[in-house]
Amino acid sequence: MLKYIGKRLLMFIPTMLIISFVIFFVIQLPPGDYVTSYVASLSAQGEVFTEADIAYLREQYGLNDPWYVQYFNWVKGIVTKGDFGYSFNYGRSVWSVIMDRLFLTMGVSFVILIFQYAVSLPIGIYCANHQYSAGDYIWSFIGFLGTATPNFLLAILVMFWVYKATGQVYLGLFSKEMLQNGMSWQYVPEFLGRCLIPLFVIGTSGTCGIIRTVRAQMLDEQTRQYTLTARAKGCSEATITYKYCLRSALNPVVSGLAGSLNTIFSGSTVSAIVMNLQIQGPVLLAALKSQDMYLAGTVVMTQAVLVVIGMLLSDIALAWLDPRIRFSERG
Amino acid sequence: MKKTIALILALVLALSLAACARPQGSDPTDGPTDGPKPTDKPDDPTNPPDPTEPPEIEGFKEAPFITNLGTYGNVEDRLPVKDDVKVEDDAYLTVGKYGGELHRTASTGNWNAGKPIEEGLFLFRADGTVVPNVAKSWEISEDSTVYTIHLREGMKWSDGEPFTAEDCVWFYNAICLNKLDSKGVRACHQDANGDPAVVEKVDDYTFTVTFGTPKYDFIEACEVDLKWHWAPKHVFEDMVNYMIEAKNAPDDAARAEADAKALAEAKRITGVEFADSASAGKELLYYFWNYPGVPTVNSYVLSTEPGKNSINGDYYEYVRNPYYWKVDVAGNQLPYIDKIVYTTIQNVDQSLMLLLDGSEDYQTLGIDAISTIQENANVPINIYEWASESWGAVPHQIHFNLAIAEPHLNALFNNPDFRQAMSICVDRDEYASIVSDGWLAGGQAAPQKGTLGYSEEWSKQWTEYDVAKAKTLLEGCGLVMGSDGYYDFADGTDFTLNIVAMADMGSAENYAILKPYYDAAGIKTTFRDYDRSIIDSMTTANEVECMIYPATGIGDISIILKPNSMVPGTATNVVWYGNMTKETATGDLKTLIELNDKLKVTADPDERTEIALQMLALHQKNQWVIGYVEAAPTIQAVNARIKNFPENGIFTDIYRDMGLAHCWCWYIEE
Repeated sequence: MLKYIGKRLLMFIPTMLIISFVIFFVIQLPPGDYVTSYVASLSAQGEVFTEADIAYLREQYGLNDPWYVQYFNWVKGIVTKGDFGYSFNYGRSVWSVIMDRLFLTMGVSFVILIFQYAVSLPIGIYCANHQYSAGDYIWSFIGFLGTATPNFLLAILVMFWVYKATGQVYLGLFSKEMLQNGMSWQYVPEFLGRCLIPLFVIGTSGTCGIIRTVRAQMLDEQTRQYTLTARAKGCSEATITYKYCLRSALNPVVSGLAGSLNTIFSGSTVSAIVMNLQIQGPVLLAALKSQDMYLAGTVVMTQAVLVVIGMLLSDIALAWLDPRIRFSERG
Repeated sequence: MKKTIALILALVLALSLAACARPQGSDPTDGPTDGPKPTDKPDDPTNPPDPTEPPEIEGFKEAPFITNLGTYGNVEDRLPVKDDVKVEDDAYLTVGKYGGELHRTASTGNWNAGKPIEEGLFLFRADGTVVPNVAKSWEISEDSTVYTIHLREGMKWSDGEPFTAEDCVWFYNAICLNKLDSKGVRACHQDANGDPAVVEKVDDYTFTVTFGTPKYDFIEACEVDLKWHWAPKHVFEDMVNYMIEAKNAPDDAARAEADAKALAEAKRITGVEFADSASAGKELLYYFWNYPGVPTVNSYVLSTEPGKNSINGDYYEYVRNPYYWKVDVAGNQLPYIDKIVYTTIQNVDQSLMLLLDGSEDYQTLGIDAISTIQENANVPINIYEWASESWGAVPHQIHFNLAIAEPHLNALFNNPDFRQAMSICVDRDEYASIVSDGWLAGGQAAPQKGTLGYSEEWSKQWTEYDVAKAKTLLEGCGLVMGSDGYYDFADGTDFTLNIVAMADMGSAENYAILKPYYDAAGIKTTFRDYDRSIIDSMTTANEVECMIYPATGIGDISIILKPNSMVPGTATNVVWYGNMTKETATGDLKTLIELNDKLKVTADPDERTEIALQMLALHQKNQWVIGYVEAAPTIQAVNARIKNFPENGIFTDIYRDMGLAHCWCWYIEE
């Protein structure tokens, strides 16, 4: 097992190098560079730039070098100094920008993840145990509706209804007062209230997938011979469902967790913009749009690292969950 | 509404041009004179003249906010000497009361937060005249080479240090001449040969700006190009010295050392870490209002409290400047409102939502927002229609790149008959009524009523809807109808007009309405929208063929004050003239550039107006840019609790967008 993990970790290095290269290449593909988007955004606010101003800016940001030279310098900085570069947008080091929102992003995403599983596992099990019942149809319908409705649209609709009902616009997780006075206990109820819309909007999106997976797997397992044997032996239905079937049914669900780590890090993007959530996703999008390449590169690369780590973790979790995987490992 | 806007703009026509040709009261024949003369000011109902005798102020009062802080001492000691305090006495103002917070939202601080509170050496009024602001008065030498500027005695920076001529002179000599703020010497400081002016201190409250050749428009140009003419020397002197040292360093090691020292200074002052001294210079010496700990002379200063002091954060505050140097007629030190607080949003539509529920107090919006506000607002919101600067509605302007490299297109775009065909093949009134929900009528890209160059003829030029004539004109341009029902070039090459637009501006919908008109006239078009930054780099690379809703629309309130959108070669992001310069321009375009150059060296006000009219006549003759819809007013949506917001004004960059609203005079009445 250790050897296996070690091997996987070694593979990590070339994978990261290739990924970083591809990321950097893709980010600089669109025409223009950070200076063009910088000038565009300030021009939109009325500032006038001359050719000389633009040339000066480009020199200042080191954008005169070809992209592979910029890439090499960036990687060199990361490897030798652990320096991930400088965000043009924020005028600060990339990591300080990421750290700003990391805690909140992880908190929000983690709660949403828990919400998704807490909602969809019981529903999935219920649907499998009551296949083709009215309950099965109703939950499946709701689940499909949740998946089919684009999150951002749902977000707009929910915010509109809430505005019509309460006369208040709930944008972002923090009210002006919280931002002004800092967080304290008196704001906790409002904060939790403000979490509801994002939780509902983003949370429902992933539930249908999990419900369907669990339902299909459970149905599969229920007709297996070991289930029949257990039932014949007189095991209670609860034992059969939770001890035998569910354990096998969780297999693909756990594999799906691999991607979650990355989601926890960045959070959702479009819905976060619509609901004005102060999480990582919108920062990444803005960085990509303005070709703030070191920031975008670092965020995407961290995501890639987390996907790789997530895969490793989910493989390990699977090995723990499913003895068959360990046997094949030994073989 | 139209009448009021036209009235304001008419005042611009009647007065500003003469005024901007020569600063008021400075007739070369009667020798050096005092700059502003109250009697010169127009009889404008929206901005009536200052009373000839300023109201007698008994004593000065301060905000309880300041008193409660308890650390600032007497208000008299913080204001300039009594006669030099600036009194805000516009007739529309009422004496307000202190306190409260102005709530605003922005996707990015920067100019959005900076323009409303910006203070210039001088100040534009709605009629285009320039009045004293930080400068108390000024004199101009007979030959227009020496400008003597008088400052306000006893005026202070927001940290309480004296604001003197030294700050103004040092700013120019140390910062501008060394280009430490990334902008360097602005056009207003250059004489006819492009040589920089000499700026010298006379005494603590007087300095001179001397030009090698006569300079006729320094006062207005300073207000357009530069605005502020100072930096806090007592704060930045060491940092700037290190930056200069780095700039002149003999080797890399010395440069790195000086650079590091400059960065350490920048960090000590603001707490912000910069990547290199060039960006520190650009940010702290140019975008100074964006950083905590940098003293200003503005009405509000960015908070230094953590969590409230970063314009990249989710929330930040601009707090009242205890040393602000303006008072109301009752002697109350301005501003009335204690803080301007900003919450960051990620999309402009969110700010409209927040306006509706009362979480935001003020926003500039498009005309289509009126019905949304009227139907959905939960709080009373006042809607003021300000004039805008553009020629016709910018979202419905179509720009053809007259400098496009492709020879077929270049010849076609430069042919006025083609532009006329593109103009008359669209049923404007139908189009306008669809795109504006009936708010606006069709129109042409032409000066607004009341501004220089306006004529009814021009505003109706090429606006008749006539498809048959459009086709005849196109055939006259050498296009030949192909078998597919669309015109091709005479040599058989396919003619397709590739229109682009900025993705976030809703032009796709407008194109969908325009396309059937173009199809009917036999003009094959394609449409694609791109992100703003991509459009901008395409513009810079001269790749845009044709664009709807350009980033920089054509038109401004004055071709003399700000010709950028109207004269080739004066800005970088204008689609219709692309990368054209004086060398590459031909015909009327070349004449236009030459006239603009001539304008810069012409002293006589009448002659300047005459040149400007000639330039505008060229625009009228050629109609280089086509507009389909009349200019829309700019909607100022203001929560009704905000008082002292002027009903009429002009929304233009020259006046710092909503700058005429003078937010330091606003107060809150719940």
